[in-house]
Order: sequence, then C-alpha cells, then structure tokens
Amino acid sequence: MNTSPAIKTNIELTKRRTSVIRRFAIRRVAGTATIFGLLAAIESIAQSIGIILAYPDPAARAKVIYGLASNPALGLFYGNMHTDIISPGGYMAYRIMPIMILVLSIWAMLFITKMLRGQEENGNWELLLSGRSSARNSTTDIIMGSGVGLVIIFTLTALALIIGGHSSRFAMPIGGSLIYSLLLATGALIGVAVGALTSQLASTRRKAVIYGLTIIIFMFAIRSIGNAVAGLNWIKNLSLFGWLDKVNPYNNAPVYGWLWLTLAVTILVIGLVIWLSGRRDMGSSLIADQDTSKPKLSLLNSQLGFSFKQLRNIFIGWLIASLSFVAVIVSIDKTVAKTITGSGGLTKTFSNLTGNPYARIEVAYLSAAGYFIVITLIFMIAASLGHIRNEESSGRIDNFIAGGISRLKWLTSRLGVIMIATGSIYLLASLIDYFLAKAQGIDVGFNDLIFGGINILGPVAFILGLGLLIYGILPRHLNTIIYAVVGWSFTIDIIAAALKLNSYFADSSIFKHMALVPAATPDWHTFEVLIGLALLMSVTGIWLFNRRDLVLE
Amino acid sequence: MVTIEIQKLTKKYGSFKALDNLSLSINQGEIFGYLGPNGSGKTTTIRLMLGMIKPTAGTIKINGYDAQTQKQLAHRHIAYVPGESNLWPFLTGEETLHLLAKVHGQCDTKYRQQLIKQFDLLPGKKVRTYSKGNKQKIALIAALASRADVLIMDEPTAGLDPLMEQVFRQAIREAHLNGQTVFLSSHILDEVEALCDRVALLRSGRIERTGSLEELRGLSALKIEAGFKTTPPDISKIEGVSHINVSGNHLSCEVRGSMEELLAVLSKAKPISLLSREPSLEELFVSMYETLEPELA
Repeated sequence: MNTSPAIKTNIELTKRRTSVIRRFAIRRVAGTATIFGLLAAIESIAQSIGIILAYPDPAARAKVIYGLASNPALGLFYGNMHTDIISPGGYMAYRIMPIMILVLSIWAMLFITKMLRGQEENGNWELLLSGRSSARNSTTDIIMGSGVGLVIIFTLTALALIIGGHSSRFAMPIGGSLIYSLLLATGALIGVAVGALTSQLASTRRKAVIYGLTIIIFMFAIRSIGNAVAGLNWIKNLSLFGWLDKVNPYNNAPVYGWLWLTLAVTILVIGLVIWLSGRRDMGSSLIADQDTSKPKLSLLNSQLGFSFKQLRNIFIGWLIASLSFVAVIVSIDKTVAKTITGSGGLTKTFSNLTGNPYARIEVAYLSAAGYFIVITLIFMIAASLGHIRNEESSGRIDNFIAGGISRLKWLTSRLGVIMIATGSIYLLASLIDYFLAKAQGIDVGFNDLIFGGINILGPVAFILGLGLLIYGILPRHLNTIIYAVVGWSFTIDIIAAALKLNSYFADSSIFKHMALVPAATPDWHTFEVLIGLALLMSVTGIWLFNRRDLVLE
Repeated sequence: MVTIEIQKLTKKYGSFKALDNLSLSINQGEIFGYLGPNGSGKTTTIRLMLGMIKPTAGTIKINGYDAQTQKQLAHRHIAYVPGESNLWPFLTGEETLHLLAKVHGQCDTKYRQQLIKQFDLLPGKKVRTYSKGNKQKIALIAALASRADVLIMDEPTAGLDPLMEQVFRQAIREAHLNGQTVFLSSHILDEVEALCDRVALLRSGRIERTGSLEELRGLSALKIEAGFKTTPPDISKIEGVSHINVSGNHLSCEVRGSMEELLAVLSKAKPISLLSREPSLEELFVSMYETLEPELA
C-alpha cells in the first residue's frame, strides 16, 4: 500500500539525490584540491620565473638547460626535450610538469579510493544506496563531484601562470598556460580513473590504494624509461603519462592530439568503472579476496611487536621511497656535476641548498640527497602520528586501556617503533648514499656523511615533538596542523629556491635548520636546540595525553 | 564485599552535565543492570570506570583500587565488552583473541575454545569480513575467557541473534556462579530481567532508582483485572487505585500500596475471574520514565 496523500503532504522533499551526493563529494574534495592546486601553482610559477631570474642572459640559460636536457638520466624525472625549452613556460613544462602530474594523480587516486571503496568498506555506501540512488548513479555523482577538485587545480594554476607570466620579461603565452594547467588537471583525472577502477577491483581501500599506486608508478616508470634510454623512446606510447609528456604546451606547435587522446581514454575508463559498479554486489570486488589466513602470532605478544605489525606498511613504503630517491639522485651525481659545472646559476642553487658556496659541485649535489631523506622521514612520521590518532579515534585503543595497558606504555611503544624505523631508514639511506658516491669515485668521508648527517634528524625530531604536543592538546586537529607545518616549510623552501625571501620568512621553514653534509659543516648547536625543543614538546605532549580524555571521532 | 564503588561522580562537558553526583555500590558476585534512555550517561559512566575519561568530581573504586589513579591495578581485575567492537580488520579472529588475551594477561584457553564453539565463531576469518554480530562475539569471548573478577559490558549483545543471546545469558550465569561481578548496561530489558540481581535506572546523568527488581516492582503499581456477572463495583474512591478501565462486565486497574480495601470491594461484588500481575521490567521502565520525564511520554 502506498503512503497516504495526507502523509505525503507533510514530507519535506529533499534536493534531488544526485545533487546531494555530488555536493557531498564536492565538499570533501574542495579543501585538499585547493591545497594541491596552490602547491602546483606556486611550484610552477617558482620554476618558470626562477629560471629567468637565475639566468637573465638567454645564451647562458640555453647552455644550462640544453646541458640538463641532453642528460638522459635526468629524463627519469624531467620532461620532454622540445624546441621552446629555454622559454620560462617551456622550461617549466620540462622541469616540473611530469613530477607535478605524478603528484596530482597520486593525490586524486587516494581521494577517489577513499570516497568509493573507503565508503563502501565502512558501510556509508549502504546508506547512500538505501536512498533514491543506484550504485551507478552514486558512483557517477562521486566522480563528477570530485571533478570539481580538478577544476580548482586547473583554475588556480592557470590564474597563477597568467598573472605571474604576463609581463614582457617572462612573456608566457596565455594559450600555453591554459594547456599546461589542463595537462596538470588531466594528470589528476588519470588518478581519478585509476582509483575508481581499483575501487571496483579491490575489496578494501588499502588494496585499492596499493593497486592504484602500482598502476600509476608503472605508467610513470614506462614514461621515464622512454625518456632516459636511447632507442626506447617508443615505449612512452604505452603510458598515459608518456602521452601527456608529448604535448609540449609552450611549444610553437603543441601536439594537442595526445592530450585529447588521453582525455578520451581516461573518460572511457571512467565509463567502464560506472558500468562495472552497477554489475557487482555491494561490498564485493572483481578480484576475489582471501578472507581466511593461518594465524601469525609472533608479533602479537607485546605492545612493541604489535606496534611494529601495525606500522610496518608505513615504514616499508617510506623506506622504499627514501632509498629509491637517494639511489637515483646519487647514481647520476657525476653526470649531473659534469653538466652543471661552470653554470653559475645551478651552482648557486646548490650552494644555497647546502649553505656552502665553496663545496665541489658533485659533493654539493650528493648532499642534496639528505634533503630527500629528511622529507621522506618527516612524511613517514606524519603518517605514523596520524595512525596513532586513528587508533584512538576509532576506539581500538580501548581494548588496550581496558586490558590494563597504560596509556604511557601504549604511546611509548609506538614512539619507540617510530624512532627505530627513523634511525634505520636514515642509516640505510646514508649508507647507500656513501657507497654509491664511492663507486663513482667521489671523495667523501664515512664519518662526515654518516655521523655528520645525523644533524639532519633535528627537523625530523622537531616534527615528531610538535606532533606529540598537538596530540596531547588538540588530538582532532593533529593531521591538519602537522601537514600544514610540513606543507608550509616545503612551500617556503620552493619559493626561497627561486626568489629572494626575507630571512625571517625563509627561516620559518623547518628544512632551513639543518646542514646538508658533506658539503656543509654540521651545525650541532641548531641540532641541540631542535632536539631540546623536541624533547620538551614530546614530554609535555605525552604528559597531556596521559591526563586528557580519550577523544573518539 | 563491595567490588565497584562510585561516589559523587560528576562529569561535565563544558556547561553540559553528563553525570551529576552519581553514587553506586555493587557487591562481589552481583549481576548489576544499568538502564537508561539514550544519552542518559551510561557509556560515560563506563568510560569513567575504565579511566578513559576523567571525572569532573567524585571517585570510582574497583576492587579497592581507584579507577583513575590506580588504573593498571584496577584493570587487572576487569574485562570490558564495548557496545560496538572496534577491532583490527587485518587480523583474523584467532589472532585478535590471542592479542586480547596477551593484553589482559590471563586467559582460560580451554574455556575460550568452548566459547568459540558455543558462539559458533569461525576464528580463521579476517575481522574485516565479520558481521557486526561476529565482531561482538570476539569481544565477548575474549572478556569471558579472561575470567576477570569484574565484567563491564556496554550493550554487549548488540547484533547477536536470539540463539547467541541465549549462549550469552548462559555464560553470564556461569560467571555469576563463579563469583564474578557483572556490570551490564543494556537496552534489552528481557535480558536484564532474566539476569540481573539489581538494577539502577539512570536519567539525565542521575540515578533515579536503584534496587532489586522486587524492590522496584514494590514501588510500582500492581495490575488487576477482574470479570463480573453484572456491572463491576465502583472502586474510584479507594486510595491507591488508578488507571481504572471498565468495559462491559470487565474491570482493570492499577493499585499501589495496600490492596486490602480493593480486595474487599471486589470480593463483595463476587468476581467470576480475578488476575493480578506484577509489571514487567519494560512496563516498569516505561511507567517510570513517563512519571519522571513527562517529555518522554
């Protein structure tokens, strides 16, 4: 029997369901899309303007850029060699576009897996589907809502480039800037398509992310090999990232066809995802999952063991990232040094980075590896602290507290594991740094690099201490504040590398307070201050955590 | 011997009082029911007992240990079952039970195996694949197998089917026979009625009634139904009689206090049937909150 007309008159009709789900996705995507859009805009504008400021003379600029572009090893990360590479826009597209496309695609993949498989995993999907919606409609709405994030990225980047590049000194064509921004947004769209697809394939968000990362890194690797290895350039045709590389937005004759083809394939994949989402049962996945396993009890007998079991995936991920970065950077040290020797601007850039204008260029470049180690360690610590907070907000900590484990023991076990992992990753990365340098015949002392390098752990300890302090006071805001501090430092460092900044402004970056060895002499005083602050904040944070209420989500 | 002693417990969140000057005393071996509508402060009381949140005022002692300042000592005697089990999705049921046993520090493994069978749990499956009821079974098995002195349970049977509910009741009765104390917060009044020695009724952070079911029933009205050959007698003037309903030759009413005068009037009218019934806990609960909290009625 239908609802009586009398009752129906009392029902307040909500907005159309499509509008509601789409708005939900838009609300979720807007914040992070703005952050990543700003990052893309700042990084792009800093690179394009920075090269002109560093090399006002076109001949000197051409020498440096052609020197870089002729180095196949750099093609692993940098873009395509093209005719207009020495213009600010052309250099920006060569120097930063591939990495920015990679970063945006990973962000978009993480976001969409959270919205699709994540929602399905935690049961929210049931609520959506119990309303006036189908799986296909909801999937479509979430993807379309997420599309607003791509529009934000496009708009912020295009505005920054059009405003920043309009003067006659930079002369960046508006058409090129629009296409460049569209290429970055397309990178994010690839992430959306990949994440949406893996959300149909995998039964958990964690697996969807692993599959997604594998696909994205595989496509990027194909593109990089095609760029770096002579004779294998054709392999780029097998990767969407390779297609985007070929567009060359600031060239006199950009190859738009590759962009339209990428968009067409990506939209086709999204269409396939929407079709698949309506064909499977809710909660199921296209790749069959193993629901049972033999018990593995060895790490479940102590808090320390269990903490390691919980956090090891984070550590392994950042260990691989850290070692890969260092291995790639250091393995091309000699080649890069040869390329940029005699180029005043780049030598100056490395001098600024290491703080030592007299360091030999290969030693300065080698020291830059320390910067990447610090970045990966800081991100690992931010992720680990986020995991600790998640244990509390989800209520899983209750199982330990009610069972007689003190809060102090619970937290210090996890901190102990984080510190051991931090030390191990630092040591392994530094050893790779040292042995690869030695293999290339670079004269560098073991003590200088390994023991002197310990000073770069000062900022890492500071972030850990700050995180614990925030965890003790404002647990709900831990992730936001920590990522804001790291993001701020990173952005300031990017800007500082290209523009002259007020020293107070530049010093607000945590990365400024370390000496990159062996080029620079370790600043043990700064290290001691940072460690002291970290200890103070850690002890205060742990004390406050011990006294405050446990806060659920 | 008093196992749980709560004195003048108050918990404020800003200006909102979640608990207001609450005092309770629960004896060893007792099964104590803790009842109240949503938001009345049941879970807050339990989180305070477990030291997860700090009281604004007052103390809680468990087996003589202060639940805030001597948490570890107090928790050696406690096992806890939350209303919604928050477990680690990547572990299997067996791994989770092993971990929880290690956390607690004691486990009757033979009894745990027995409980796994009785609750019909498949321990080899990953937690993320379990239904809500199966996750709840893990928390119940872990708590019961610990043989802790005090079992603190917050809506422990949420998600369990009626068959498993019976297994749960049997396990609680066994715990009672073993001298374990059970603090049971529940909305399933049948369950509380079947298991609990005493109950406390909570409203807006205050305990309104505490006592055995008999004592609470004594405070409540007795239901009377009688049939007559002719029109029933007028009982409206009798003290303590209320809710009078006459339908033909049938009469029903409620009576508080002495029944002597009512019985005299009814027997004089020669009833052909007479039924007196104590209120169920559900009726008691509803009538009490109707009386105490007019806005709920």
